[in-house]
Amino acid sequence: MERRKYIAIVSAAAVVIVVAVCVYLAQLSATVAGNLMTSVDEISRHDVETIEGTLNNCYARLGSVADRLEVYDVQTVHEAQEQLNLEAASSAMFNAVYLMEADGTLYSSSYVRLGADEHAYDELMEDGREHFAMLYDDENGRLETTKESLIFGIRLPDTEIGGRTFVAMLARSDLSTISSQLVIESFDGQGVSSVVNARGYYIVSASPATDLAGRDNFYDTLEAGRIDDGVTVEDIRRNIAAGESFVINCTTSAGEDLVMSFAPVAGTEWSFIMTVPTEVFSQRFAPFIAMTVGMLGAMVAVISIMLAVIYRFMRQSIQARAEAVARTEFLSNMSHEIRTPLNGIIGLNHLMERHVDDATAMRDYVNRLGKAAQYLLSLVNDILDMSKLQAGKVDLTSEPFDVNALVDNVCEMQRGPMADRGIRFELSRTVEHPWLRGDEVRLSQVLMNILSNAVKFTPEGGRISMKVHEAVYASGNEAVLTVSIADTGCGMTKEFAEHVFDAFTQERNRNSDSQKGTGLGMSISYLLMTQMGGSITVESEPGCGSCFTVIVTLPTVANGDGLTPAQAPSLISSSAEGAEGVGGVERAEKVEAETAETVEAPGAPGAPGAVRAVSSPSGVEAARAPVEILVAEDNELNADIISSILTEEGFSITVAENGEEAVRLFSESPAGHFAAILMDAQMPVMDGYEASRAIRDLKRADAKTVRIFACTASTFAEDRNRALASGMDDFLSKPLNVTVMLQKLEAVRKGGAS
Amino acid sequence: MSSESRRIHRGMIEPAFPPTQSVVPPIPRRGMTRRAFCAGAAFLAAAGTLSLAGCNSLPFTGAAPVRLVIKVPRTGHDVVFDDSISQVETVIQGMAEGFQRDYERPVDVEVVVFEQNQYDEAVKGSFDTDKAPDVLYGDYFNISTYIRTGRVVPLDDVVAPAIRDDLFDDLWNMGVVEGRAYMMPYLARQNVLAYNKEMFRNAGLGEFVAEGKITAWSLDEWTRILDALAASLPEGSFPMMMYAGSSQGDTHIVTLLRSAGSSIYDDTGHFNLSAPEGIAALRWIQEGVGRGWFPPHAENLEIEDCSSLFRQGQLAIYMVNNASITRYGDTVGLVNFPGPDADGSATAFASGFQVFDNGDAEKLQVAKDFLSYVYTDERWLDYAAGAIPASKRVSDRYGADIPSYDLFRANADNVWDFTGGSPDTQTVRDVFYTGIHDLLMGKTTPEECAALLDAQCNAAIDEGWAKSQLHE
Repeated sequence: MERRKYIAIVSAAAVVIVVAVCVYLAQLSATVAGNLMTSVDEISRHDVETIEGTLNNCYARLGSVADRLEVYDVQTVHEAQEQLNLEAASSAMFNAVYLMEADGTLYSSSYVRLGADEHAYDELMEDGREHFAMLYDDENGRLETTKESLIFGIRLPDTEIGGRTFVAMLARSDLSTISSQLVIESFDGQGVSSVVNARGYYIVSASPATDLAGRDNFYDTLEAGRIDDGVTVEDIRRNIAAGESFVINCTTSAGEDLVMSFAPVAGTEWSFIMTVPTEVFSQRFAPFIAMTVGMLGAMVAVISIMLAVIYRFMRQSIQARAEAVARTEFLSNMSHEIRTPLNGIIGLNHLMERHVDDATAMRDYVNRLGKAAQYLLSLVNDILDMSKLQAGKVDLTSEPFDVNALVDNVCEMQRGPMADRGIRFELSRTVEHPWLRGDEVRLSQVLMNILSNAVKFTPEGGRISMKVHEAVYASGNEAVLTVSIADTGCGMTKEFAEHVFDAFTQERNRNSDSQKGTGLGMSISYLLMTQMGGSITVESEPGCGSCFTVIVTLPTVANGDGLTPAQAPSLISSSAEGAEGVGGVERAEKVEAETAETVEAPGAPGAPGAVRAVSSPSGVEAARAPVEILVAEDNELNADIISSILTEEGFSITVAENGEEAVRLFSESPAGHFAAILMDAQMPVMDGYEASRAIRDLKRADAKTVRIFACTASTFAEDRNRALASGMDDFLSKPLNVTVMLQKLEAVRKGGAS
Repeated sequence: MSSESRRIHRGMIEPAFPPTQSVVPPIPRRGMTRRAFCAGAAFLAAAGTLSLAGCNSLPFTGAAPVRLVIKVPRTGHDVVFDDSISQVETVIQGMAEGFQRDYERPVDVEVVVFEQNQYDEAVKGSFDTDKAPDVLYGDYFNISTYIRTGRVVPLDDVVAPAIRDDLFDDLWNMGVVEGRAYMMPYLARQNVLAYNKEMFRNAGLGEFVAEGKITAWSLDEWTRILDALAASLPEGSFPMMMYAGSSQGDTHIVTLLRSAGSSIYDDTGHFNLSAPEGIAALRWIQEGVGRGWFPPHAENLEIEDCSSLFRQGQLAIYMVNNASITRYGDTVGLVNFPGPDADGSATAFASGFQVFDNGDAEKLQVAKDFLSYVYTDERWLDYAAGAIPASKRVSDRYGADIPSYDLFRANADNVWDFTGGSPDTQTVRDVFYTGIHDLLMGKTTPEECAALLDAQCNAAIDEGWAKSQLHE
């Protein structure tokens, strides 16, 4: 759920960022477009002013022509026309100049005379305006040209020439002459200015015609294309006629998207048009997009890194806090759990001092003292297991093992307690391929935890059923092993069942024997199964019992492949230790036969069969014989205890204070004198590992065969491996399990020593 | 727009003309030569495909359309049987659409229309670009200049005997250079002078008004008429056209210079105005300025000024052609330019086609096929009926409908080539009018003007010859 929550939060944040970026880009686009339109407006204003300035210049020049007529003091209309002819010839702007008589008659510089009924230019001055400029077309009267031209006109103060009154002066300019002065490019040549009259004919165009027959019409161009936003050509025509400023978006017939800005030219019916391809806007906007995307990308990256760092710090902080809490809780639990048996030991010690002469009481106190010590030992073992599992430092082995043997061994270890309490035990199994590869010891530990719990919590006369099922994959390379252990015990509440795999949990509703547990077994089992890639689950109902199910997938191996004779006893003996020394159960006939073969194998003492053999009281008595044992132990108390125990069991003991002395004593002894060496791992002068190597390197017959047992409080697998690697044969963890130690040494004695 | 282009895509534009009828003769090909080439190319392509997969060096062009550019100046044009036609570019557009529709392979024809004063921009200015003309339609005195660029190809292989026989010799010969035809005549407009009958009669010159004929007057008669007009016309009216504001005045002025018998050009095609006849003619014109024959300061006028004056009844004599006289109705009479003999002179503007070699043999062949298509399809030749058709058959069909057709055909013998076969007519025109400009202003004497014109015009001619190269 947490992961989904985080994903949802991150997704929501991403959506918010994307939306924000889109909104920002939209706003940015609008701003850029707005700025560009402002630029367009400014350019338009500037261009309109230029055009208006050009027109004013034309008006002024025309006025100068009129002034010069007075200076030349022309007397007749013909003389005036001749003078106008010369004016036009010398003008770079005007191709023809005209005088308009009060009655409307027009006299040109090329001597053409148009009567008032032959033109309509006089009407342009009727509204009282002082000047005008218009695009020439023959509708107002045909002049001496078919070229596209501009007509300028100024009002004259009544001028008398040859007895006639003239009221206006007009001039005609080829559009190609003046247009070049008006065409203004912008936006690196992509923006083009043009001027059209109300009828849509171009006064200024990027590619002007020179003949009326070839001129284009702006409205025709618009009609051929498409105008956006529902604007019609009629709307534009109306706006231009009304002298409005406005903007349209359109697409030409060639598919080019354009933005057109219109502005009226004062004193005319013209509209200035600034045409800019939409692409220009995109081009101008592109750098902003790139910069914005880059900047946002950088910001997102920085923020992401910062969030990741903060998240990591927070996570570490939370984890550290949780670990601190867990440590405190753990220490609290440990303190309680360790103090409990210690309290018993101290109390018993006190009682033993008080009743030292009471043999019966002393026997009871010693018996209870041993149980408290055993509990303390199992507690320490569990704590170590938990610590290693939680630290991820448990290295699971991957060795071939026999599922049937594993199950039998586990059952056998609990058969005694079950028999003691009258519990009916039912075992059913479906094992198609018994040989699997995995950590047999740890798997046994898990099953033992479950089964021992079942025994603990099942009342007398109850029932425990164990079902073993193996399903081999079609490939034959892997098998799913499912083990279910159900009991008819007190069961668990639903709430407790949810925490049954947490550390230090025990339902506080139990019979007296339940106090024997450390409360770590299920936690260890859970962690072990997790590490194996398997699972452990529980179904329980108060008063009805519980059912634990272990499921793990393991690779299959051919029968006994890869299993060396030396490995089997080591594993099984470890299993026995991990299962807190519980043993003495009967086995199925078939399995027993297989185990017996293993026991009979040479050099395999300590195998399950051997353990069972020496654990039999009759067996121990029969096998007693003088055997020399070298004990290398720097701790004097431990050395005395071991010596006392072994001496009472009929062994002859020689003690060495360090490894060097042990080597010396062994080398000085006759060949075959010592049957076994109990070698403490950590000793001054020379430790046990080095001493073992030294002994094995000795040039004597028994150097390679003498049994060397590592005795160490370091019980991790690497310690065990290190001991074996240094030449030791077996491993006895401290505090010593006396029974196990005696079993192993009895095996040595029975094997005829070295 | 200075030029407009209209790309034609097969089937997209409704033809402006009726679709080709079954009577239309097939497009002539270059005999078996091209067919043999195509067949050979197809064979080689097929063989190459089969035997040399991946080899693409064979000259097989596939079905990609050939793009053809046809350029035409914006020119007024009437057709006697189709009132919808007012511009010659419309006719060219129709030809292009018909060709594109009927041609044997995909072709994409673009017709580019340009203005009359932008020949060089439209032609030379687009050389070596994708807008270079493959076919050019225009007036001979304008487009003849391009023959000497070496890009205009001879069209003898296009002209089947039937086609050649159908074209009038005088128009055909205008396009022949060094014995090879570089221009295909389509129509012609013959230029003569027109006089305002009413003004003549008002001036007491009714005896010179002739009905139904193109008359001719002697130089003395011309002088008398002009003096009479100058003396009698009211203020603001003038006897005869004269303009030298631009190079457009050369046609009628150089023809007027034949008035005293000058040949204008010597045997080598160089100006020969310094001969006595030339100087006399120049003097005749210069004296006319002082005698009021022309509008004052005619050196500043344009042809359109004189046209307007004539149209307004302020000019008694003006140059017209067989197409433009219709606008004046019966108010004008026709007369040849004076000299060099009693029949006087006329000029003609022949218009027709050139084909350009732009380095693409495939396009060149398609361009020639276009001309074959036009000249073998009598429908397209018919559209010349409005001016004087170059086709005899069209003349036969429509001569009766063409205004004053018989008069002008009969006057064809008096037409002279005012270009003198110059290799660069435009440059000669550009320097010629400036000499006349100064003469009219009185800046130069007739002798000085003759010397100046001979020197400058002949320099232009020599330079033209020096640059001249004909397409092989």
